Amino acid sequence: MKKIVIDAKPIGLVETFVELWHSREVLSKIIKKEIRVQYKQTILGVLWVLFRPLATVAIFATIFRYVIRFPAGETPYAVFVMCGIVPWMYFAEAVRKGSNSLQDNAVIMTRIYFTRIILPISAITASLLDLIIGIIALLGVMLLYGLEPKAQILLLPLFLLLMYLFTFGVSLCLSPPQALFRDVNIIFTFTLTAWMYLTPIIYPLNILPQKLQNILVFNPMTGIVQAIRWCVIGNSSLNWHSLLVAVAVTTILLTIGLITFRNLETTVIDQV
Amino acid sequence: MQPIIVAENISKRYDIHPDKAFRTLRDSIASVLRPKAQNGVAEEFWALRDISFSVNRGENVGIVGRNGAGKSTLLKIISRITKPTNGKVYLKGKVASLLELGTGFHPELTGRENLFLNAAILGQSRKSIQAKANEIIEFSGISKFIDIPIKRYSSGMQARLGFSVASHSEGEILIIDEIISSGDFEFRKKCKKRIDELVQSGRTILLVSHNDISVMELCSRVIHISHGRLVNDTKNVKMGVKTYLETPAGQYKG
Repeated sequence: MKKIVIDAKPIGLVETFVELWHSREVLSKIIKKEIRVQYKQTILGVLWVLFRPLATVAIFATIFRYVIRFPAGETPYAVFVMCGIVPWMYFAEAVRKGSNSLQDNAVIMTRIYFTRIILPISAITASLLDLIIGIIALLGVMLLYGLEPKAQILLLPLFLLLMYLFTFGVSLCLSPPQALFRDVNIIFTFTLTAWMYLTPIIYPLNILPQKLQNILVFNPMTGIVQAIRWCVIGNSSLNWHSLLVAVAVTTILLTIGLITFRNLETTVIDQV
Repeated sequence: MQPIIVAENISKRYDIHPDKAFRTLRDSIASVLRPKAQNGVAEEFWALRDISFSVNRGENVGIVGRNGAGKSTLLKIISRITKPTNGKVYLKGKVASLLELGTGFHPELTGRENLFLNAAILGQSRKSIQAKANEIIEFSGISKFIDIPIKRYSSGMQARLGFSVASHSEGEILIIDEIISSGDFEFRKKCKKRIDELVQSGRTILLVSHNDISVMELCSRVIHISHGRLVNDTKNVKMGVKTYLETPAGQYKG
């Protein structure tokens, strides 16, 4: 039996991942719990998984098709907007749950020990179900418009993985402060709204003045959404510049996030 | 005998913010900008001071002390929930802790779902949980309600399920905090029998109670904590409990 030493030092990074590997069964159980709890005491139950992304996309597509018209080139606007909205909905929902994950599970956390990094991971992973359904719906809508996906659709999982890691980084950075200061949630909620409009989701990036485009490129979600759109629609070229920014920011955020999380973990336990 | 738990000079400090229930970001920013500002001053509270002891494999230790003496903090450190401010604890076995009511229970999930989740967190494999599930449910005596959400359970029912799950886990060190006191007379009797069985099978148990001293009959050793310090550590359980009961009640102090 391995000897366990408990002292004031935070748990090491390698140790965290070793523990995470050993608790993979707990992780999968908690992910299932997250999904199940979300639809407990609803009449439609898991049907909501299908309905929610579809309904949101329908609303956005209608508003921006008939109220404000953005030129989306030859691409039908519904397909264009869905390519942005489906990933964005995942990001917004997963980050909200991920950053609340420590606070939401305060009771479990203060009663029993397990690798706490499981909490943000399970929160952002449970939301992947909505994302997958959204992507399937997107492909369905494309077929309705008579569009066929091109070869680069095979790269889509890679960009979804990048978005997942970016979401993980943001959640790691925000979950400990959020559990300590409720202000973080309030600030983040309206930041998210502004962030959405600063990401080329409902409009194409190239309708903006060049100056503004140069700024928006530094928003990692720009690179991610543009790359996903390129994969799915594929009639423009891939914007390498914004994609590299997204990869770089994700790497930095993951590093900062892991350090923040590890150092604040015990403070959170003692103060929630 | 080989010690399975060794605690070396463990201390735990909490910061209390006397005038606030919750901290806001503003308070923290303010205290960074004006470290000496009177409203941001944290008061130190030492929940534990220099606690050292070691427990041998198969020992059954009762921990007594009044409310706020530091019993729960000590158990939280041993079960790895929180970290000590100073000192070290060495563990040579898997810990299954059962702190307060319904450990790790999620209110929206059913009793059965909670059982599986809880047992997994306690480190059991899917196979062994499945093999034991019926036995655990049977022991809890709430099989009729096992498929309804835990939020509709009474505190006694949650305690029953909680104790059943933890006492059937494979943990070599079992930490039980106040859990038994919320069950009824009949269930308490059952718990005691179960604890006895676990002791017989060589498990190490740490048991905390302040209102059910009779539980201490099961222990082979008593540790008495008062105001965060270890004041008595004896194998003479009767005397240990008696001394604790006769100590005059004090105020909470830091």
